[in-house]
Amino acid sequence: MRDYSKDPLVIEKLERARAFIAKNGLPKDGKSKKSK
Amino acid sequence: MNLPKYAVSADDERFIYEFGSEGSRGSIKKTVIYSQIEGNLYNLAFGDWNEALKRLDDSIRSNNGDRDKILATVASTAIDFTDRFPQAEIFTEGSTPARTRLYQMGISENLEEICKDFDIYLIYHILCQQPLK
Repeated sequence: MRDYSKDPLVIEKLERARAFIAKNGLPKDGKSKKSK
Repeated sequence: MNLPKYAVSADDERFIYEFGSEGSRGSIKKTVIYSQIEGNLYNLAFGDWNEALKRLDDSIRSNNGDRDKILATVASTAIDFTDRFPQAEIFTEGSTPARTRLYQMGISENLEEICKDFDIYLIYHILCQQPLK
């Protein structure tokens, strides 16, 4: 399968996500997928 | 969720998912990429494969008449990804406020079923600067 690790969109989205989280943070009690 | 969706092919590590949109404008290759932000937090990137530019593009409006099927397919990749990584938290944002709103609507329409397996947090959108939920 194609390597997308250097795709500009992927890189851009990752950088935006990191900047957003750095600025706004995340819910402190963030939870993962519930156990089934 | 028992919604119509496309068959998806994934890489061995379940970070890349590819599928083809079929509609009035022909066959369009779609890709979902999960990238680690930090720890268990991952970003979901989604776009069309631009064969001419050899890169993903999330600004295209494909208008292939299968929006709900595409959203269901992307959701199915999130389910598969979190089956592989149960502790994962997924962050995503649309390429435009309208698309983010579209994704929010899709989640809201299926919220009851989604919440059986996931905790959903909709936080401030950086462009709208108001809570989405």
